[in-house]
Amino acid sequence: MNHFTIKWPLFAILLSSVLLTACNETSNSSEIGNTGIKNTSGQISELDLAIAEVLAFNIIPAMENFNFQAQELNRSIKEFCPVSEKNMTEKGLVVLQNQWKTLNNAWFSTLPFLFGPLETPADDLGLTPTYAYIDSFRIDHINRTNSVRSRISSSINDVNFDENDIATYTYQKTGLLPLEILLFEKSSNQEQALATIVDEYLQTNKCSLLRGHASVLSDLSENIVTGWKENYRLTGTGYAEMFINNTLDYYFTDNLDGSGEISTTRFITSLKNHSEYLASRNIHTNSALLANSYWDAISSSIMSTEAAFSGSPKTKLSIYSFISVTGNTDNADRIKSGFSALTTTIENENVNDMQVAAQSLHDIIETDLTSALNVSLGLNFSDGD
Amino acid sequence: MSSWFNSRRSLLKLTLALPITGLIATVINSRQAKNTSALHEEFLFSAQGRDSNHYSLGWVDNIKAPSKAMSHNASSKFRGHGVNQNPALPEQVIMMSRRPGLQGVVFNVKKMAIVNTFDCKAEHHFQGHSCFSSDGKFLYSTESSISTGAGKISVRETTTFKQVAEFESYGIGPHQIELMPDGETLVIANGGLLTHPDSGRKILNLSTMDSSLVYVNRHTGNLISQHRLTQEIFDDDFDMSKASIRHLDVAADGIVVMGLQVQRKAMPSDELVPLAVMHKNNQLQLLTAPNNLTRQLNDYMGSVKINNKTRTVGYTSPRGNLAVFWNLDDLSLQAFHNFHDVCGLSLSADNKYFILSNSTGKIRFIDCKLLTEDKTQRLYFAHQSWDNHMLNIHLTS
Repeated sequence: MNHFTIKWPLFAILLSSVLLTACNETSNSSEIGNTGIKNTSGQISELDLAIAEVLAFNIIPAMENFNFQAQELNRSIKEFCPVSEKNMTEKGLVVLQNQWKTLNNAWFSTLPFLFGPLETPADDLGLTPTYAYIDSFRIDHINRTNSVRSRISSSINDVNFDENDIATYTYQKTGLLPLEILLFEKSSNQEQALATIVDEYLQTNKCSLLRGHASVLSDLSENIVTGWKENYRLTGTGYAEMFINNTLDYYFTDNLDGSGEISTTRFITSLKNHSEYLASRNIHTNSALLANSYWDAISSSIMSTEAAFSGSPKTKLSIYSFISVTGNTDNADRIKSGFSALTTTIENENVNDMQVAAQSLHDIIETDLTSALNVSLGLNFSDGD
Repeated sequence: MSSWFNSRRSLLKLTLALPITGLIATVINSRQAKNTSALHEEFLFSAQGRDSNHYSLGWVDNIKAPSKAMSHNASSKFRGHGVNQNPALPEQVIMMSRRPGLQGVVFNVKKMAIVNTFDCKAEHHFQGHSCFSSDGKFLYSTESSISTGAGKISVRETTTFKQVAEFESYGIGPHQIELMPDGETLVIANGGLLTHPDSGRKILNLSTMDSSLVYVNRHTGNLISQHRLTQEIFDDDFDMSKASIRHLDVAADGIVVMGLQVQRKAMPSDELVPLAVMHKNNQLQLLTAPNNLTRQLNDYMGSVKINNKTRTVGYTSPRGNLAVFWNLDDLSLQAFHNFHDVCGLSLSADNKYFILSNSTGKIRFIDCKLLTEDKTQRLYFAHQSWDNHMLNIHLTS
């Protein structure tokens, strides 16, 4: 009897001590690795850690760069087109054109990560994602150059045009395309000579359109970064934290965020879909045509996609490393080969080969990556019945 | 330091886990014992399993008490598809193999076991769905002739499940089949897609595919009427030529609703195609949605279910991660609900909920009046992969 009366308190003290230590570790682990993203689930696997690093060191920086370039274009446009003066120059226009190309490349760097704030509905019905307002071709693959051009032509001579109205436009009329048309051609006859374009700015209210579209785009890009980092859909929490802790399902049921899809599959599906987009849509005849920079844009998106696998200088556990460490080096090699082949076709600017290589990369991601990560993308969606 | 700490944590986990494991085992045994005698319960049945080692007929009991609900499996050895309950013998549940499978299983809910299996006849393969006659004496299943590709309807008596007759489906690739409210007419979705077991599920006739909705007399097999989604019907607004009618449901008043799957690779353009169609008063009518919603459905509807009480029809699209609901009378879009890889779609016995299932083992309940999710009813069975179709079964005796 004495034996037990002595042992039980000792055991209780020991157990409490162990529990306290364990709890301390949990509380000390409030950050996932060194990503700055809070660990709220307490159950972060090695794969989650690798993906958290992709979020922190690849995806969010890509969003931030897009936002930075959008703000930079907005700022430059205000210099080029001040409200009260008309002193546009060809040199100033070249600066804007180059900045548009840089911004478009930055946009393409975000396209492999088409989820979260980029997918947040931006219309009243909750059906049109934010990214459509930036790049309408990405959602419905319709080249709207002619319709946007026509609208610009009529607006620049409309004395009642109010640049603030652009914030109310539907997605078909906003984003990078109207900015490209405004910067790279004379709206009335599509001439691309710098002097001709500048002259149109001097003769019409084209500056109002330029300022209005740039302002809307910069607001969208700002919201995207805020959503990723700080306050997603008025929750007071950044999307990255909810995403990696798989808590979106509990915050939302009324849109994509409540779909119950776990972060790993969402991440892989997004990468896969981007490869399919490059493979199946003729970007070279539908995007960045006036700027003649579609190859740069495609290249940016592939570099961004591969960086999600190889990591950044801050990354401790890249996706490639994770795949290799888990004994799937062959899979990692096949993925690397897929990227290498695709990069070569882009360097050669060969459309057909690029589309074949992009489809091949899509297939590799669907099979090798899911196999290496031991992730199922679903059962019902994959084969029709 | 690190390894010492990890060891202590492992020890702690083990210490805490042992009694919990024992408790779980006790609960499982207790639940399984109760299952064999629980005849007033409501169950959800579905084909499930991610690979050949796990293919089975799965079910969930206690669905009205989420904290008590448990899932169970009866191995089928093949990937199942459609599930049906015998209306005259409620404990009898059938699961058909997925195309181009060759088997079906007969499950007894009282015994909670597979009690019989049946094969399709030589040179045929099943297409995944079946339905009972209203007296429960006959089972009608969709099949295809391997040599000719012609769609067939086999008729089996439901004691031994021997085939007793065979009809034409009047098309290629019949898929879902249901009994009309008159009890005499079968309605069949001829998908129009030719496949052959030698080439798996590859579609062999994309350029000539011919999908149709067909009504057939269940006694004679005679064709009553056949309907196609021609462009003329829809005023040339949509190119429906590559839309395959795959799934359907029948309302109590005889309205038939269909879920389509578009063979996009065979289409000359990116033009959107509506995926929900109704056949009412001998007219085909579209259930439309805003373009961005239709686009998200990704050319694919996987299941369709009517709630006769609320006059609502639900559709699921696993490729769009969406469930969508329309009003059956004014054809207006009512709501949509995002759910990853959703396909299973059923109704609770009291018609209060649409029940959705997905391949990660999750089940959600959508209030049929509000068309919003009742989160308190959520079920999750991490080891289950619910396949395309889910059926609610209620035993009343």
